[in-house]
Amino acid sequence: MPIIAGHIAFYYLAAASIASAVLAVTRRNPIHSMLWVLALFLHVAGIFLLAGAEFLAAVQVILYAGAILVFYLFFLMLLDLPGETAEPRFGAHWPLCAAAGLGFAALAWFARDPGLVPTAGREAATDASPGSLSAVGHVLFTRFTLPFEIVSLILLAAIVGAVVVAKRKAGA
Amino acid sequence: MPPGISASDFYNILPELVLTSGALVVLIVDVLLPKERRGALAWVTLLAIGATLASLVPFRSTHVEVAQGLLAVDQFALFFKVVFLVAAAITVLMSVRYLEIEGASPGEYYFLILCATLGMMIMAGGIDLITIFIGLETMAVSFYILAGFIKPSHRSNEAAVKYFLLGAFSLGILLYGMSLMYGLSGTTNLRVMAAAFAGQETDARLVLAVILVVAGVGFKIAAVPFHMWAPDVYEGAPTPITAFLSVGSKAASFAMLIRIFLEGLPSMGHDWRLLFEALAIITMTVGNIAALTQSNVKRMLAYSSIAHAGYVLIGIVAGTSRGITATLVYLFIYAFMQLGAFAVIVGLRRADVAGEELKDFGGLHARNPFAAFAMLLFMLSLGGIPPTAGFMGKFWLFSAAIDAHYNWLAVIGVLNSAVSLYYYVRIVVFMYVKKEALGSEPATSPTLAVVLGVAVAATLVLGVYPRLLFELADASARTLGAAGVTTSLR
Repeated sequence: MPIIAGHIAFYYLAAASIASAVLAVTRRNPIHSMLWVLALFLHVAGIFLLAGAEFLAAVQVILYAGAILVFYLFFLMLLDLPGETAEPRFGAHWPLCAAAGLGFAALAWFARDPGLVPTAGREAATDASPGSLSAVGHVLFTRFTLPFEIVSLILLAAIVGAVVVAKRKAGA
Repeated sequence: MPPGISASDFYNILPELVLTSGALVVLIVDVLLPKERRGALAWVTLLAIGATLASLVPFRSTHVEVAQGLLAVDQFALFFKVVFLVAAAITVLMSVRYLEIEGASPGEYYFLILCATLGMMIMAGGIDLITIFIGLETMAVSFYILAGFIKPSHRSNEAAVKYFLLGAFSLGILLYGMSLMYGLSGTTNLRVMAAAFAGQETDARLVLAVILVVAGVGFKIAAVPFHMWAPDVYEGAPTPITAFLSVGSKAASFAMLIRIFLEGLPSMGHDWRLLFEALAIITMTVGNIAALTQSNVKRMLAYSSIAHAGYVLIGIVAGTSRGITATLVYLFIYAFMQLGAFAVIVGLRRADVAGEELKDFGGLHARNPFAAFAMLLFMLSLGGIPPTAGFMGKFWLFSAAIDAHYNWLAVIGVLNSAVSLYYYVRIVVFMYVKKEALGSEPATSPTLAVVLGVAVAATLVLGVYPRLLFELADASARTLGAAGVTTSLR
């Protein structure tokens, strides 16, 4: 019985993700688009939860729904919102873009494998499941120590970049 | 000692550690020096690069996997590391004057150059998708900032934003392909992956992964049709950064390409060879034809650099150990002629002249015979005329293609070289035949003279005596693969 419930939950989350993604692209008001993106992030987090990856679900909510969405909203404040809303939503190339998107979807459909579909309940959410917090932490600080250390250098480079941009603003 | 890294691993990544320390020292010295003396940072940077080069010496014939198969320390990586470090050193030398003229602060600039170099070194050594991706990201983040480094320039800002957006987009595609590879094999290690994928040639999901990774890597090497960012970014970025981008980033991306496809996906060779064959043909052709009509020399060299990515792909398509050797040889030679050409452009940059337009080269022979001669040599070399190094490089590439029975690929390559001569020689005509000269006298600086001297010497010596380079590249190409044998080569 729980397997059927898991299936229902998965298909609801998947359908809602796709629907909110479509709505995010088609809404005229960028703020509305943003809110649909938020809905998309939360539903994807739900899919992660179903797959037993609580850590990824938490990261999805905190990083994407939290930090990255706020960043987008900051960016939207720089735009002329009434002007953006009045403009047509799509440029002249949208049929091409839609064709590329559909082409990719077809390719993915062609390459699909029933074994890859994340059926809910297949993986019990225990501490040892691959997406759990302790599993991620363990791997990060043992096997992948070296890349983890290199990432710190990427962050340093990014901070230096922020300083470069900020200095420019102060100098101008 | 953290589990996952042993004491010997720390020894084996010594060059990377030296370079990282050097980068941090640059950042600290920047704060300590008074503002008017910060030009000295170039020497600190060069010292860091020199120390890293010296620390490579003990690893001449090492062939080990580091940190449980995340990085390989082998001659293949070593060859590329030397290319990156030499390119970085030349870039720093030509930046000294450029930064003075543009009035940019050198501390962050040199730090980011070293960061980008570190990323490249990790890309070349990476035999695990995670390390390769993180090395790529280290390089890319540094370049995004460097492309927009010059303060008041709108073009520089536009270049940075375009590079950033398209770079992020292409990374997404690459990651999608990588995640499929991981999902299908259950490992991120390329060598374990190769074993898992053996006999899976007809798996449609794997084909999809190959297509996505080819597209992602295609962006990075600026192969047509993924090249749209290159002309704008090359034109807008500060000239020394353009040089480093077109040499270092391209070589690193080819190293990544060879690692992923020859070490990780040898069983899919039929599919990716076909894709790269098509890419090589349209990249050479579109790059050269688009370059014909350019009047901005930086933009012209951007299209020329796209075309050269097409030539190099021929070696990958051939896929034999000879083809890979030719690829390595060509990337090494290309570094010198391309850096040299950009150094001449840096020399033409004055307070009153951008030095990037074709007409800025007018009458250069009368004003600065050495710079004109150097440019002549680089143009002939890029066009593939003997006795320059470019000829030897192309010779090896095309003969490797014929060797592997890709005759018509070699024919298209030769035809394209003939087309490319038109726009290379056009610059020479401006320098030697046109008399009208614009703006103030081009100033000379000792660091630029060193750059030109080194590039000219390399272009000539490697053109006349390429044997040593060829043997080194050959030995490097043979270390690919887990056992150091060319099992993955056809």
